[in-house]
Amino acid sequence: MALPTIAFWILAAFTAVSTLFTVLTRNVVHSALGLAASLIGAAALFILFGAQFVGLAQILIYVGAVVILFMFGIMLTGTAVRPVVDNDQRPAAALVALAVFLVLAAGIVSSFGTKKVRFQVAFPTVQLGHQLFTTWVLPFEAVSILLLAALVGAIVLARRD
Amino acid sequence: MTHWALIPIQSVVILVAVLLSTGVLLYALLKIHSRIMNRVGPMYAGRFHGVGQPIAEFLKPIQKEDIVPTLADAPVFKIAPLIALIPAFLVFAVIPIAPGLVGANIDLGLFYVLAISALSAIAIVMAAYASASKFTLVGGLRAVGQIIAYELPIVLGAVTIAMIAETLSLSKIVDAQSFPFVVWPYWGPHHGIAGWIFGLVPWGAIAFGMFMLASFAEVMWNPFDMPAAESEIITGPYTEYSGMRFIFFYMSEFAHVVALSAIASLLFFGGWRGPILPPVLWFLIKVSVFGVFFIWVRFTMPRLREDQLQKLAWKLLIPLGLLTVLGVAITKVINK
Repeated sequence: MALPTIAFWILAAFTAVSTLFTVLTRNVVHSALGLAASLIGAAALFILFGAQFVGLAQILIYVGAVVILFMFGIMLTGTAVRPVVDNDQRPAAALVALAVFLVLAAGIVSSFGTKKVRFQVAFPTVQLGHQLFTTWVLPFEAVSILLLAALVGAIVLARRD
Repeated sequence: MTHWALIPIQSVVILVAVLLSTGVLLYALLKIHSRIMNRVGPMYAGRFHGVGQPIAEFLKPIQKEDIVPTLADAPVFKIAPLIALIPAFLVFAVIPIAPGLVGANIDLGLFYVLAISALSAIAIVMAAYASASKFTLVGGLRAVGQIIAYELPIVLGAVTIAMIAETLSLSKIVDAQSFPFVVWPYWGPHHGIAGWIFGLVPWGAIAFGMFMLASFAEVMWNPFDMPAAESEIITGPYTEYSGMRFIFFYMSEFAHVVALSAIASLLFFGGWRGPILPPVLWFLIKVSVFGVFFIWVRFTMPRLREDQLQKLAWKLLIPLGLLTVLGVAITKVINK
């Protein structure tokens, strides 16, 4: 087996185990840390398959900001003192997870089938940048305005006066 | 790109580079720090002017007891120092020290460095939460607030340089610089003096200032060391740590300083470029100068207050950074 293939299996197993840990643990903080690990694993998989930009953006935004924000929320709301949570919606959640998995798996199988995916850069980031600011500039700007609106909304909600 | 067999060797080389550079930085810190305080510093270990001191500092804590507080979340508490080391090692992998001499030459070097540095916050949050102490919690909140606030100035400073050089690859950024010594090598040579004043030079200078200020906040060294302000909250997130685990945090901080010194010299001072001497030596000289600068500032500046730190980032550096990015964009379009 070639080294990239071995790396793929290790990373895939790591991602799967940490994702399972995220949903199975009863400690909120452990759950957030498991999520961070699973996101890092997914980012490493992206990088392995040549989507460097996506992988690094995932680490920067999800691990570096979103998970940290979760932890911040947990620590500030005092949940860290009594971090054990559970509820009786487990069967429903399992059902939803199964449905999502089936839809995603069907999507992947129908678009790739038995095609072999190579471990190489699919498209250079330079090209991505050019595309983003020429062909897709309108959606890009629309997303920016959406984020700006969310920012203004957050400030309006957070201000007391 | 596909020298898979070389990966283990490269990894070992990077590991050695991390350990060696943190050791040298520690020795420099002990000596310069002492000099600033009018002392001689370590003199005995290693016989000659205490050169063996970094090794002693590393060996001492190994024999100490590994203490975990009763109420601590033991697994998270134990793993946090190791997590802190990982980003430090990963960053070293993409730093080019001479043309072609780099662990992994990826096109997105600069972006990679910024993304990986963001990981260090996770380890601090883990330490702060797992220690189950109010000092660590306050320290953790301060540390993360600081890292998030100063992530933006550092990114904006780096983006300015990436825009000027039109690449994210660290080695290509070095190639794009026309003059090895100058902080602001980016100016249209055909514009003369006007090119200096109205060109990209001022923007490069602002970006450099922002990058350096934010670097101190990122590594949490003196003017910005509120997360571990010993007169207020003991040692912040590291309060409950002792022995080897504390040293791991210390090492990751030192490796971070070395990495930021290397990136500052790559982005703003032409990296390995310079006359006469071989490229590797030039690079080491520039990194050392930055390292000494870090230590010098750390032991001679007063500490800021927590609210002043946040104000500086959000009200001054980030608007200034956005302005710089806009300025570079306009200058580039005009000069085209």
